[in-house]
Amino acid sequence: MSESNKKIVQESDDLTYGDIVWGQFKKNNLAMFALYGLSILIFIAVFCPILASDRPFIWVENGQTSYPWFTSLFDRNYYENSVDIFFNLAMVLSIPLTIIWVVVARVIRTKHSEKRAYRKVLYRFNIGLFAAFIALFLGISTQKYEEPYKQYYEEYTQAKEDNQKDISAVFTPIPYGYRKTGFKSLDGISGEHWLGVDQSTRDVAVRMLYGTRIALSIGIIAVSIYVTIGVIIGSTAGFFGGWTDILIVRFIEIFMSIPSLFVILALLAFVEKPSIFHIMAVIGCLRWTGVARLTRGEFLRLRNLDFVSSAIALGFSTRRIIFQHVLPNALGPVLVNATFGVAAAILTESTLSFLGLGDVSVPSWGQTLNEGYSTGAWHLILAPGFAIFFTVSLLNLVGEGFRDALDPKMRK
Amino acid sequence: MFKNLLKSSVTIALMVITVVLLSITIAMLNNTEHNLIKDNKLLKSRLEKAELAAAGAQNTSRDSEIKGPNAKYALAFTDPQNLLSIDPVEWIPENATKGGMLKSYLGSDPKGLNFLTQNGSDVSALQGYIGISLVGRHKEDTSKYRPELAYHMARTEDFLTYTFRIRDDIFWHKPTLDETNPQYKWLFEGNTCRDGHFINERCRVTAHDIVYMMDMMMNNQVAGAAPGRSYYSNLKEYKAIDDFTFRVSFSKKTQTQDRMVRGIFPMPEFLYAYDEDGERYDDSIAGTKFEAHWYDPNTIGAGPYRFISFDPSVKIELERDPRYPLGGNAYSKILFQIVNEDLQRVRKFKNEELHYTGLSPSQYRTEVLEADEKSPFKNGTFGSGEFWSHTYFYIGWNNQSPLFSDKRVRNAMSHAFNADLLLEEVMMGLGKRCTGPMPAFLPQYDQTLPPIPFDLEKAKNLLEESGWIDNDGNGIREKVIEGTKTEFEFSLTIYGSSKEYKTIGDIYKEDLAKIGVKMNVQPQEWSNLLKKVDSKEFDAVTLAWVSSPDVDFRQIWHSSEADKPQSSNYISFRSKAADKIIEELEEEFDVEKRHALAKQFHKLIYDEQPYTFFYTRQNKYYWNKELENVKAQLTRPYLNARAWYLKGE
Repeated sequence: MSESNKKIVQESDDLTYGDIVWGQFKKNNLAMFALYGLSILIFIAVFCPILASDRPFIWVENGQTSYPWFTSLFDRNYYENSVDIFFNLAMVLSIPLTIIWVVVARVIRTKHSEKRAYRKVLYRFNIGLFAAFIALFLGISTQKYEEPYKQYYEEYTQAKEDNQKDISAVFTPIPYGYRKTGFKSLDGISGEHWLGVDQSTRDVAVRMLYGTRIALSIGIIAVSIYVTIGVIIGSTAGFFGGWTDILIVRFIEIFMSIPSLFVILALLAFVEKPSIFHIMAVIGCLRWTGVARLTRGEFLRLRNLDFVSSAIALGFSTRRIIFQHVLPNALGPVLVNATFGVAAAILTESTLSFLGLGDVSVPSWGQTLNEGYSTGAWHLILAPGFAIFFTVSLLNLVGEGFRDALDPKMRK
Repeated sequence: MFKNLLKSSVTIALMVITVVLLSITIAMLNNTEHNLIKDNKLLKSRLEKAELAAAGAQNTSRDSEIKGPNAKYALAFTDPQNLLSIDPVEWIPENATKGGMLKSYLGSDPKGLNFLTQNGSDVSALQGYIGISLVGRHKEDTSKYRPELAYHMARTEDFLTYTFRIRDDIFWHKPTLDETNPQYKWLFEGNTCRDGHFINERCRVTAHDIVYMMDMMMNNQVAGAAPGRSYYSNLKEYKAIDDFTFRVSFSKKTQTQDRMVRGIFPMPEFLYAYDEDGERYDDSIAGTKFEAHWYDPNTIGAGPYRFISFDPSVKIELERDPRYPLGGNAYSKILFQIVNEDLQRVRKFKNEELHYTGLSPSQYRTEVLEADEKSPFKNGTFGSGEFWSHTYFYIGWNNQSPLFSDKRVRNAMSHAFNADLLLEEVMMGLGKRCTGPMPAFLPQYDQTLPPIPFDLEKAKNLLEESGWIDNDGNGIREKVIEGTKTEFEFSLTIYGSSKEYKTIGDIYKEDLAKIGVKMNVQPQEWSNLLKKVDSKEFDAVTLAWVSSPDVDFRQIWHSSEADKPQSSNYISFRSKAADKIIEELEEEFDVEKRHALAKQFHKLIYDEQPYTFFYTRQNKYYWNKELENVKAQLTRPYLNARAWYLKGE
């Protein structure tokens, strides 16, 4: 065998299951387009304070220069919600973290020539980086940094009008935050308010932008919770089989027969101050049944295959067989399901906000939609309606793309 | 393998426990909700204040009273002792068409229809159609009373004893039960009616039915009647002198009871005092059995319309009682559809599924203010009218909280509340600013007190004066109270389903942030909100008070009420000066002096600002032109369809 041939064989050996799926996914134009769309949404979620904020980047008053936009990012009076703090942290760290990541990835690559080894190390590094980020976020969110309230934009326009104070400032393209009131209630679409004004005299466009953060974080956190629960229960049932399986499946069936929206409503009535995290937790604790059934199905299929029998014969511990041998092979369909789940969770939050049971301190799309419904103002229905529709559609398209890519029969 | 089995059994056991715990939680939630519903009813009733059944029957044309069997009733009005007089305004004109079905609505699903224990406004409205009261208010001069079941009402000079003589031609409707069922034979054969009062297959209303109602109201087992019971603390005695005379006496003269006795109505003893087999309940359990009676959720009365059916969450049907002698029942049927969505109600009205409807502020904006000329609400397709309800909306400050115990702070809060903007932009100008504890259009309301203006600078100054200063530069004012540094942060509890309250919360929150006060808006479902209010576990709350034309201040403002559980003085307002005025008012019968006292009280509350008063609501309503003679009443129920009729074909 020649040298070049050997290399080609080596390459295809290196092709992981993930590579194959990704290769397939890339061939699906619609799904790729949706994935780009989603990336844009995530980008908006992370960087929306650059587009809209009450606080100017630079503020010069009587020769004194301050940078209120930067200091406001972790101000708990201004951003009351931890979701905002999370995304602000992500925004601030996005550039340094990307640089660090690229550098580290290169270093690892030079050290590990073998693709699998390289990936393994990179994977560990990613996990570490993520954990560090979360730790930093938790650290910051326990700190109570607060700033006094100041109406920068009003002061600025006032100063420009009567030329009394010496003020100059650089504002974001939309110079108001999502809580700012004082515009004309239910004003329609105009140059000043791109998507109009809601009943509480706030700018809708800004609320839509910040709403992206709420929608995405609800989807991702709620789904992570239920995927974890579902996978554990499903794999227990599928791997052990027999009575365990029967009991768990019956349990799942009982759980599925409870209409989850009503349980959510009941549970939320129980909570003193329902925050957005309660809603995430409640959705997460109720929606795991689908994932559990999928995982169980996959386990039942995989458990009789040779590699599992070999693992058992080798005397590996049950935990090791489940988590290292069977689970990675069973995860594909679960992840597809999770993509759809994110969309469903966003819809559920909208439903709850629509019913007036959401967290009123966050700018969720469902709340604006609800206002539109009760006031009959078109711009309040269309803007959040489209936002929800697009996000959910994009997520579903991505989910479908992955489902097709996982299906060996549809391989292109 | 055995080990695996053991592990899995443990897992299963854990899961079973989870299921059990979950079921228990659900059961507990259910139970809690039941209790909440119960509490809800209780407080709702108190909040609505016992303006008992203002609706009443009207005297038929005067000709018939002078002649024939009605002569004795007509003669009664010539007696100067009689506190009742004939209402010059008749229910409906003589030439009015009779018949047709009125398509009406109820805004909520009644939990039951027992008129004594259920005090929701919808049930009171229904009572106006099905039940009969002793007396009713005149339709235009609401200070006067007209006869209804009673044709004569006398009061002794010491204001301690009241005697009612009642008509002998009023009969209980037939109970809404299966007449062919042998189990109810006793009921339809009149076995439980008083002797000689079972006529033409129906039981006659006697003074014993009024005594029975009083028995049940004063019975501690009947929890639903507690709000009414609280007004009879001076009750000495009540009895039936004969079958058609009822007397009630008190140990102390008060103005409140002079009004409350006029809200007495009969309850059918022949039905409620007996079990399903026709056996009379023992006195020891009579109250408990009455509270949850086998006849529920059906109801019965002796008024212009008979109750036919109640389909929970769907509808209630009534039919005309042809033997009712006092008029005000033009329709042959009334259908109450239960519509709790505002939008749905207006849609149904447009589709002619309802004969009339009210409009919420935002609907008023879309259907009228911002609609084009073709809108049926504007182009004359529907009739339109308006009325002022006896309400005032407010934010109540928990006076017990260290944040709001200082009146300067409460004043600052009022200055930071942009009421004019909210009234104009959110309530669409449907109302009038209110400055004190009564509807803004009453004669005893002091019109000279100006509404508190929106002024953030003033609010800041007041807060600083009272020691709330932001020393640590975190944007929130603080003060050292009893040695601990307290930040000015509080929650405003609002009714979650109301968009208008939410908007109020959003705007107020931002305005308070500007003066260094942090407010969290906390929407609550109705029953939870009442529970919080009852247990005084709130900082501030937005609510509305519905009163009658004669305002009673004791219930909300007297210090003695502050200590009672579940009282209406849930903000714990205490003022000796206020107590004094309230007590004087109770013993004062002269109208002029009463008004002067009320104005004095108004000023006192205005200075104290225990509430931030918002506004008194004006209501818009529209009707299908199939209806004739439509006008709103001056007292509750404002939209009383008994005064209207349907145009004939």
